[in-house]
Amino acid sequence: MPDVTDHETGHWRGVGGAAVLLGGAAVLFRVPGLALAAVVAVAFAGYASGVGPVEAGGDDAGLTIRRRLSDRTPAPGDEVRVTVEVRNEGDGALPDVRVVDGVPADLAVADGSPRHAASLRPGGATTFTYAVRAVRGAHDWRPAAVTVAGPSGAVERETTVETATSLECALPAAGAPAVPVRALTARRPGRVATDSAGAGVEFHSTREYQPGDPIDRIDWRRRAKTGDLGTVDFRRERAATVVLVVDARAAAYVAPEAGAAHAVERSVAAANRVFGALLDAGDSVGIAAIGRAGEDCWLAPGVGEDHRARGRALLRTHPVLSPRPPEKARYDSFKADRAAELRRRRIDRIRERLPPNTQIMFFSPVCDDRAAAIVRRFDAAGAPVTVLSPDPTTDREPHFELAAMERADRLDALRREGIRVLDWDDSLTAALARAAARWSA
Amino acid sequence: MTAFDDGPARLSVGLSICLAVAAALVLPVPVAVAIGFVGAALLNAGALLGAVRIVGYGTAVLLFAVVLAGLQGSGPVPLVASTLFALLAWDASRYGIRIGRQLGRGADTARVELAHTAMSTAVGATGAGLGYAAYRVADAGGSAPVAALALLFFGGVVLVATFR
Repeated sequence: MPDVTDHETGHWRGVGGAAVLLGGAAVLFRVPGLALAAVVAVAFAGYASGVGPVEAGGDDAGLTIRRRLSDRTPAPGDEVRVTVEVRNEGDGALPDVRVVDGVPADLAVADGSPRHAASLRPGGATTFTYAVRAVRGAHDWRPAAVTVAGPSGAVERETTVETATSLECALPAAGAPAVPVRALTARRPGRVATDSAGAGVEFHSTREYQPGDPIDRIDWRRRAKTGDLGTVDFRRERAATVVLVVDARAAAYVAPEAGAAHAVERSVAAANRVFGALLDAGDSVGIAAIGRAGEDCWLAPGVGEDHRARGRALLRTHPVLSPRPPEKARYDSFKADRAAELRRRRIDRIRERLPPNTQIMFFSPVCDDRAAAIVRRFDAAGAPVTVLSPDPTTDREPHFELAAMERADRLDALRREGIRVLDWDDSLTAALARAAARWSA
Repeated sequence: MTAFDDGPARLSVGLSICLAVAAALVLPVPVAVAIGFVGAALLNAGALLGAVRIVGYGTAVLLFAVVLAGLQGSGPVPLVASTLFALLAWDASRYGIRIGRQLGRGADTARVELAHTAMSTAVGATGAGLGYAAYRVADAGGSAPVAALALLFFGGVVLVATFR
């Protein structure tokens, strides 16, 4: 049952005073015309109090609402048209119905207004449309706030009308082209060519036959030449274990301009593609995020279609990866040394969970020194780090250029320390191709 | 994306500007017209700025101009018309401000604004018409019209009081 409150608006407050002023002057100065004028004011006063509390169709079930979305599962950035129909199912006419639709907090209205007013006969309906821009995640509409006023506007009834409407905005399923991983592998067959000998496709070495060697790897040429049995070894190809770490700290919510996609959104989109591409390649992939307090964001490395679905769902809706920036930086209320301790500890919590021989792909705009510190802390623990950095900087104004230069310096410093850095501006695909060429050379 | 504009609804503000100016113009006494314009200007400034208090002051000045015109010997019809226009302007501007705050300028509110002002106009005009008819009847009888009207006025007040 929605809350219903009636309240007087005071819309006509003062009209009685006008009546008294005019009527008093009429009597005092014996001017009949003024008494007539006072009658007008009295009529309004009677209207305000007489046409009393709103007969909002008798009860609150009087109004119903229906929403139609042009697309319930849009891609991020799509405009979705929302058509709202408000119907008066009650018996009474509602001369003045004002509706404020409960647009989900994360969705911005791109066109039109989610607010509307209408007069509704019994059985009458009104529709209005507006457009929202889809943002990654699952979004539920809140109840619409409805104000029903009487014809005089002296009394308003406030209530809410609810109907379940939701919009699911998923990142596209498309993966990235081959993602270069570092030469650190787990003991599972995969695609990273290693320096150890075994089964594979690329020739590595030959050695003496040992009982139990597979028959297809016997070196028949050597057998023909010398009569000895030998075995060919190939480069062993193994799968990598990768954990994608998304930087979702307050400092990472940066965009080149208002309204543009911020770095967290771009990082999550990139992580989504890399996640798919690595799984396609047979690697074991996990996901973690560093950001606001609250739920822990961790998906242990895994393979398979169920894992893929879990990972995509996490990237789509996990609260730590919310498209909305946190209210404030997480450790601002702590003293400096305590905050530093807590920051170290949250990195260590992820580090402790990493399976052996795991590498990190860190998605961050690297627009503050703490991002670089996070990279170094992973690196120091022996987990090779690849930084994938969406570039949120712009050279529109001199002080923006300064931020761009600082970021470039930071990335260069990381590169000098042997950390792979992939800095991309608009096309992740192109940057990945460039990086693959550079790093395999 | 545009920021939410909670300024007064345009149609109501436009109506209130026209009505306030009309309220000043129908007065037959030049001094009253001048003062009426001051009131109309105040009322309109309040309507445009969304300031309910200033709208109230402007309406008070307009009604003061009506009293002044009455003292200067104006006939009943201009007084009634001016009062009606002034109160309608007051109503329309306050309604526009309220709708604007609740729904913003981006919303389509023209129909309810028109409906509200039309309803108010009907009520005001009916009141004025009934009052004028009573006045004519009383006048034709030759008895003291002011006393009759004062009684009428008093009856109206009692009526309103019982409604509450």
